[in-house]
Amino acid sequence: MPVPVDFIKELPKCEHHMHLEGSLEPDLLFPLARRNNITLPDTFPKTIPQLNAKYKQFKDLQDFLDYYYIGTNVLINEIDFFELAMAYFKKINKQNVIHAELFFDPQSHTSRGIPLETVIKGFKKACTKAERDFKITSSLTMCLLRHTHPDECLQLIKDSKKYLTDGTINGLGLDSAEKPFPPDMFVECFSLAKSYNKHLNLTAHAGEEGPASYVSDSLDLLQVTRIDHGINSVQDTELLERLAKEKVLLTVCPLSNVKLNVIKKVDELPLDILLSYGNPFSLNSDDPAYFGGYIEDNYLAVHKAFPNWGYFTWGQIVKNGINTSWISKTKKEELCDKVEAIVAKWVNKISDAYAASHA
Amino acid sequence: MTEKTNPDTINIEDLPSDIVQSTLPFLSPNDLKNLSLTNKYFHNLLSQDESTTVWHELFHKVFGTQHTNDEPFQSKNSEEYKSVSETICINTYPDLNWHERFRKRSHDSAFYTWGCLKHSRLGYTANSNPNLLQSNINNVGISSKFGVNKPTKVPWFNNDPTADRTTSISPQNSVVQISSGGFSFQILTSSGKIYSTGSTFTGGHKGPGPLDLDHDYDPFRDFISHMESSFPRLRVPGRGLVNTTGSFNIQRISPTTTSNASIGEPHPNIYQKLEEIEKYSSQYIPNNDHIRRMFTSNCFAAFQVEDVATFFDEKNAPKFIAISSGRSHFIGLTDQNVLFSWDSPTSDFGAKIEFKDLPSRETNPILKIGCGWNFSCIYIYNIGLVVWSSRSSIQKGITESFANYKIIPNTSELSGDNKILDFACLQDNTVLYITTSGKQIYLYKDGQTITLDLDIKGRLLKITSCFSLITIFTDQHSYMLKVSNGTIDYTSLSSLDLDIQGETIISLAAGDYHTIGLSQRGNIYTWGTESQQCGCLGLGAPEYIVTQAMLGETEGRRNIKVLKPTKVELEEGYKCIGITGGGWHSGAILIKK
Repeated sequence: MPVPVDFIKELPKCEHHMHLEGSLEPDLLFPLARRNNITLPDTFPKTIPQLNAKYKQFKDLQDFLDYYYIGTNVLINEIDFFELAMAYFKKINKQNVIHAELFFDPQSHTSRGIPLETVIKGFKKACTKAERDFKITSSLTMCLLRHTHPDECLQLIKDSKKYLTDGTINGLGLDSAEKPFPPDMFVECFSLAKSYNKHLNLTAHAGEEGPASYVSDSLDLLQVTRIDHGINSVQDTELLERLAKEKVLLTVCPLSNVKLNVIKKVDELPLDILLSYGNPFSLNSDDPAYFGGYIEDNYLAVHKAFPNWGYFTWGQIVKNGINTSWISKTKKEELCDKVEAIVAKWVNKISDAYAASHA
Repeated sequence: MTEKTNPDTINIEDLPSDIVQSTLPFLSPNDLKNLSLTNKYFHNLLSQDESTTVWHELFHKVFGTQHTNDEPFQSKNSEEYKSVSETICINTYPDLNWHERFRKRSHDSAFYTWGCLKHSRLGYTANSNPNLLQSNINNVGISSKFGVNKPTKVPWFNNDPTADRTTSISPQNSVVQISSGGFSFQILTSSGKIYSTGSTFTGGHKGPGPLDLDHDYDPFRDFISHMESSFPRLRVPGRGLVNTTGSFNIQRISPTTTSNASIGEPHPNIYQKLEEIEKYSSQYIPNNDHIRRMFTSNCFAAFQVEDVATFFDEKNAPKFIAISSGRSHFIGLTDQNVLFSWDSPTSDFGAKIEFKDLPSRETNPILKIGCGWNFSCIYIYNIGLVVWSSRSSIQKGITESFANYKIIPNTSELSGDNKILDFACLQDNTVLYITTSGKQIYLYKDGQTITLDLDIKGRLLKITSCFSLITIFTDQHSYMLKVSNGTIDYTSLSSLDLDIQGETIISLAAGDYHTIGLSQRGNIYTWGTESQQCGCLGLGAPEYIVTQAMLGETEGRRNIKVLKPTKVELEEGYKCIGITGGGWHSGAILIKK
């Protein structure tokens, strides 16, 4: 018997892999295009339902990117970035998300002539408001697009020195096409960023489509402490042992993997292998507007695909995510206590019911 | 054309046999194989074991590393001088003739590595190598399976069981030369292919490649740019049409490109072509994807991406005869005397190096190549020593790169006492060299040449250098000098003579903190520090070194220090004929006695 859906919904969740640009929903895209006087291509769907329908049937990554990049172009002013992030926070507030570490791609905006400051200020204000209004803590992770030249990425690091130093940007990541842009191309970028602030958190997309060696190279060369996606790590048991020992979090994105044909069905995810090796992983939404689901939808999809997981397994998964979040020790303990209380509540419910039926 | 023989031409069979024999070493082993199949005369000549000059010359040519600065030039004073591998082969197989030694070297040698396992730099991982014993793996704190503490055979091509040993022709994949950078090993095979171990040879560090903010044309990046620029455009008030990709600067993409990807239609997998090109341009050792063949950028046909099928052509890959490695780069010389350099973390494809304003390779060929920490140095006939630490970038459609080179003055003598005998490379275009007079060591640094005043006995024969060490060989002794950050510590001069009866070090290699010596009998001696118990000394497990055999002691929390040159135990019946070292790892070519 799978654990009840309500238990899954009630679990306090941390999101570690969500691209803010990927949360742009059609119902925000059209108003922003109008407000900023942007004429969409003639072939672009004209209404929200039409565009929603398109989003449901991406053929592959390129099809997705077509829309993704057009969407990005409607973001011009600080308030656009603020509203984009707020729309995301409003959605996850209903899904028991307590903490979110959010990706953004400055290069998608600076190359269009949007100042870095505009992007960061807009997002940061939304983070502050979300903490005040929803009690959701959050932080920003800047991602380098690995298919742009490392020198351009290095320039971005230099341009964002102020934000990296003062902690406005709390993490540095690396995304976009993995092959054939291996981690060793970005060593200089990562070490420069780290030299600005030794508390900067480092992560990189690796092992989604690239080989397991991209995962170990990201750890060794880029000195990252987290791996985004990382599911190809299971090709190398030695690496799994290392990841478990060093408590490296893998940020798994189930619905994204299915949408982009990395796997056919959610039950193909090697999550049982990760559990058996003791590898911490979390469940995330990646680009929720495009991949048909926010974090809760991803939890529910995994819940359906792995019906054998009990309360304690789920509790452990969620606690692993908390303990590998970029938050203080006190906060970790507080959140883990919360999880344990919820697990205890549900387990007691079962045993109470059992006892009652046998009374 | 008539069948009649032209009376003016002489058949090669008509020549005296000693003339024929002395020309044979100029041919490649494959040429010789073909020649031996042409007629009985050549078949007999080449299969005769007594034609020992031919086979010795051939051995020297194929395995003598004569085109790198591992070995000095031949000189009048060193006529008796043999390369390291020849010397050891003579000592190992005193009763065999050169024909048999050639055969042994070709068929019975194998590549061994030990030390730090990171980035699978040893050519395998802790789990991927069936030759690796669990007891030879060092575990260090949180970094489990960190290093290998004994020379361990690297999974290589299977010996072709059908290869006919009697033809004496070296198998295609025989390891001819090994060299090592800070993060990997480079391996040259008898078929002229270069392989590199692990996932990175640069470790992410810039080598002597294009200068800052300049970079080689990247066909893969161009491919993505091209693809993104085919996306539909947007009309933005005041700015006209802009591309919608967001990741490449607007200006860079021609706005006239019309879209062929209409919205709403399904598209092919964005990565499909990339994957295909990646597949063509990646070749690994069978069943070992930790050793990859290194290709040159001229394999990308015309740098055009339109036709993937012909985009990458292996047939353009040149045949290499020599390799040399720096910290984050390596260079290779081809049989056509063309030089290629792998020197940038952003490209895995070797760039063809040209030298503007220097005469052609036909009149002034490159005779030797060498690498320093962060630069390259070559010896060009009648030009002398040439150094460079940067080069122009490779542009789309152009396959050459031009070295920003400097000629070291007064190094071009072709004969006499001032002819260059050997050179060694340190850091930042700093080169040490000796001449056939054998009296002085010259140091070229910052455009100035000075002579070193060292208390050294005997005539100088050979000079080598590594990251932390210079070795000087004379006809009487050998000496070591320490180097730190490219600066020579003159007070550190010490004798390299071993305390062991009858053993002399004839070749030396060093990594960051450890030294590997090779004796004339083919024994390996190591000393120095094993950082983080990485195992690079190859003497066994840390507990064995410290408490059992008492060869050394622990230093700090996790380092092992061995002060005295200590013999490395090899597999029963094996001798070493070549060593290399770098960073935290060591390598050797071993041969069955």
